[in-house]
Amino acid sequence: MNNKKWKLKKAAVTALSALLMLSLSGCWSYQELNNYSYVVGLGIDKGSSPGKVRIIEQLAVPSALKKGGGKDSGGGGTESFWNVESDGDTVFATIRDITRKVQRKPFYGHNRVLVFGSEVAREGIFTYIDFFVRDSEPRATTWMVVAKNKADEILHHKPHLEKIPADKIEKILESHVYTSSYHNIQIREFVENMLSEGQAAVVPIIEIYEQKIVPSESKEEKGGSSRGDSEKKKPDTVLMINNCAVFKDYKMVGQIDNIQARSYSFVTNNAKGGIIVVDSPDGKEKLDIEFFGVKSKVKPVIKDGVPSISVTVKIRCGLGDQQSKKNYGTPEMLKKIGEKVNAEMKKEIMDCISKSKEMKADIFGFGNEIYRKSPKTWKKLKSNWDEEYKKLDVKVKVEANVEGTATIRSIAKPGEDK
Amino acid sequence: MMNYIKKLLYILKYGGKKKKKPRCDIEAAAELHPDTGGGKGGMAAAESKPSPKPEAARDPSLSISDKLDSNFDKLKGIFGGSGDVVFREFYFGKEKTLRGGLIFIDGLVDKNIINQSIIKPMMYDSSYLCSESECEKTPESIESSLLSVGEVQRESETAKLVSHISSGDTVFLVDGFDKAFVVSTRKWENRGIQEPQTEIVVRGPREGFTETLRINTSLLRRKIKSPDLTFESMVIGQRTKTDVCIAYLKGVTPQHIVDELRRRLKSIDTDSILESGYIEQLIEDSPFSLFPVVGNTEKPDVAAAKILEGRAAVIVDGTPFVLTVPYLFIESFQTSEDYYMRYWFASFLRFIRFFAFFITVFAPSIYLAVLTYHAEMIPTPLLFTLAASEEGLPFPIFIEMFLMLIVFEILREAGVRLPRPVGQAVSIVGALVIGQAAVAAGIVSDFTVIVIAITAISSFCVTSQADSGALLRFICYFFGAALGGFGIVVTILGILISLTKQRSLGMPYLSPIAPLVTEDLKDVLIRFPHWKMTNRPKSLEPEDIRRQGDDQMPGAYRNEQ
Repeated sequence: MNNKKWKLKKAAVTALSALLMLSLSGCWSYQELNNYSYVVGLGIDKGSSPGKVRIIEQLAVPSALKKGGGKDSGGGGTESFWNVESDGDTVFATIRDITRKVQRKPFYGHNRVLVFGSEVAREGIFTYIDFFVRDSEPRATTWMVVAKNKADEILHHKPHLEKIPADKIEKILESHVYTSSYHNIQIREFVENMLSEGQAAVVPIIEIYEQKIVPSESKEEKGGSSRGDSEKKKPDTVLMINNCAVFKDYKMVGQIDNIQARSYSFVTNNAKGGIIVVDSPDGKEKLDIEFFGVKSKVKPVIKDGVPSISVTVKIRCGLGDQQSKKNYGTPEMLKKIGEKVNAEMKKEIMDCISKSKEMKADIFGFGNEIYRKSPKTWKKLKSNWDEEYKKLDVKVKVEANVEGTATIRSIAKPGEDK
Repeated sequence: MMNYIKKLLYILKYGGKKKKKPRCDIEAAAELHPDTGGGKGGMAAAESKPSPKPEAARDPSLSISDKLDSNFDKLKGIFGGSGDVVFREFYFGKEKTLRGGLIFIDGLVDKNIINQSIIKPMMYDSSYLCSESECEKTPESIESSLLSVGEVQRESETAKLVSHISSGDTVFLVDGFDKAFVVSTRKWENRGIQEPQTEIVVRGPREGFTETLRINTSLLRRKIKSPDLTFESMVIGQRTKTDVCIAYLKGVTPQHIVDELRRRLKSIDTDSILESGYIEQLIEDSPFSLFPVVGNTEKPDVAAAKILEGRAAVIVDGTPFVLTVPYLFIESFQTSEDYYMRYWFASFLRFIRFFAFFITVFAPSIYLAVLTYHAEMIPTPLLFTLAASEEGLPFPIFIEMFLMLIVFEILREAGVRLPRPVGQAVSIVGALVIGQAAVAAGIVSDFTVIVIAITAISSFCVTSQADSGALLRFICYFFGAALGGFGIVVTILGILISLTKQRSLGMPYLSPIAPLVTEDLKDVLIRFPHWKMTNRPKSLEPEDIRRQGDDQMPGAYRNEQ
């Protein structure tokens, strides 16, 4: 009986404490979806006066994004995004300050792109990036890009197909798998690179590209309208990734071009697919070689305290395009093409390495590899790593395996394929 | 505050007894519950104060005499003036000098038997079959030579006679003989064997139990013809005198299960058993739990299968729902059809059922918690769609969702209770009100309706846990609303702890998962093919573990070895 009493007492206490737990916690951090506004892109530029920072927040407008609601291009309809800017001394304070303009508190959990203006990038982004790593809302998986000029103009550029510029930027970054000619980098990777001694990071540069063709319908349809000539003949512009910025110690120290960026992807195992153009074995035409699998291995060798690096890149590829009727579909031919690819890629990679040596920026993390292999050697090198890196002997070996010629051998009648 | 807690504890304690000062406790309880009398205190009260035995109190003499008139008077006194009790007096014998009397209840007896096999031989055949002296001296000979009925007993205890009459037997009294012949003439109108309404199958037997105990036992007997199938009868209920029957398979059902079940049934002391639910609630292991620990089925094949696995069944007269014990949690997810269809699809359906149960309990709370506490968890495009649909709605999501949950429960209840032709109207109104008008009017978001709809449909997948599921859904919903994902995790932990603690007739409720019985897992998530299920479930501890021979896998050369 006593046991039963005790049990009932226990049950009552449990029920009461559960009730108290429910009521006393007061729905901690309960937020309706509509109490927040959602930041999808964030730009950082220099402020209007020196020493100030300007933050541009790109907020999504859900009601305009809903199927059937709003319009994706200006005019009378609701815009799908809303850019709000604010100037301030520091990042966090400025970001908070924006709530004076935005009635719903911006929520950074869904921010996908961080755009740095080039001025900011050259001066060093260390002062700005801390918040995005420290705070709990922004994600470490946010993409980073550097604007060719100002972040402002990138975030204001209305994209085609997508409704929000940040969406477009994210999608271009994700489609690097088709060219591998730029490196996409998230905040986490960037900071990891910066934290690892002597290493530099590669961040894609985004710019507004002006198309040479003026949209024809705007010429004809709006020809007679009251709009000014300057507007009607305005050429179409698109956002585009072109070249990559090299960051050393949070400062942008230089650029590598698209081909060099591709080599960078090859060495760092980030290349997923793309086209290499090589001369044909007889030198008469150009062949497009599509690669679909790249594996590289960076091996540090330390001889008498002097380090050197050997890079082995293995490429799986196939013939994707040719200009003659020649049949390249024989094993001997494919092997010869492979040698051409080896030579071409080796040249490109060496070019990229020498460019990085020029900038004294160890973008490949060779220093890190040496440290892992032999910490003692690294201890000696690290104080003077910039100069040591310049002297570092890097051997590159490319092993391409041309696996086939896609779905046909050649467009030629039987007997014609010479 | 302390006083309040003490009072609450008192309320919770009500129903239990205080050893030292029982009176004080009842008084205190009566104070708090003025409308509840002290005598209705449930089991515990019944324990302390045995309920009155009506007939015994009114009838001091226990056995009948040899005087027909006094016996008639006595029985008439017991039955009062009930119009359906028939007292028939007649003369028989060679010279019509013997006096006999029949007592039966109209409507419970087969009149054909009474007319053709009792009254007719007595009135006609007795005149030349029995000599007067013989019949008078040895009335036993009436049974052996005149009563042409299959089942006849001799009885002299009044109480027993009364109960025989109440159950449809005919009592035949002879003047000058102090014993009565009890002739089995039970027959009454009953619902035929129909397809059960609650357990629908596509493939499998369509017959279902009925309200009559004998028919039910015969249905089981027809499934299991082994003489080991044992039906143990008992009568429960002081006033209803309901026939209850334990069915088990000797040599398979563990003896301790049968013993324990019998002990629990015997200890029931109540005046009425109208449905097996009464018994279920009086014998279950954990009376405070949300989960059912006694199974019920309307289908003889299901009951037979459970008995064959080593369980015991309790058949109660007056209801088609047969109880099966021990009942494990996993049984809620098994249906008879799982074993009738091929194992690939049956296993797939198992997964669906587990998933549906999870959905029906947790979907509303997870939806609410993710939207209001963990907006970063939602994929960005989905978040914008959700935010857009919530735009401009008057209620917080918590209220909105809660309203819809309640509306669904109302609709479900109305659909069950309403007569069938009206039921359709309810579903149309419900579909229009919930599905369209509420969204169009801008009261709830369309996503809420979708979540509620999925929850509602899922709740019908696991019918035996439907009621526990509905309650858990609300509990989980409140925790999720107050504490977000953390609250849901806490609820899940609470549910798991309570599940592991449960016992069904002493067997762990969550076995074979916890405690893990690896061998029995072949009937949990995946239903193994029949040729793989050589043994009965080990977790039920059957006396004979083997179900079939080794090497039952079919194949061209199987029998040639």
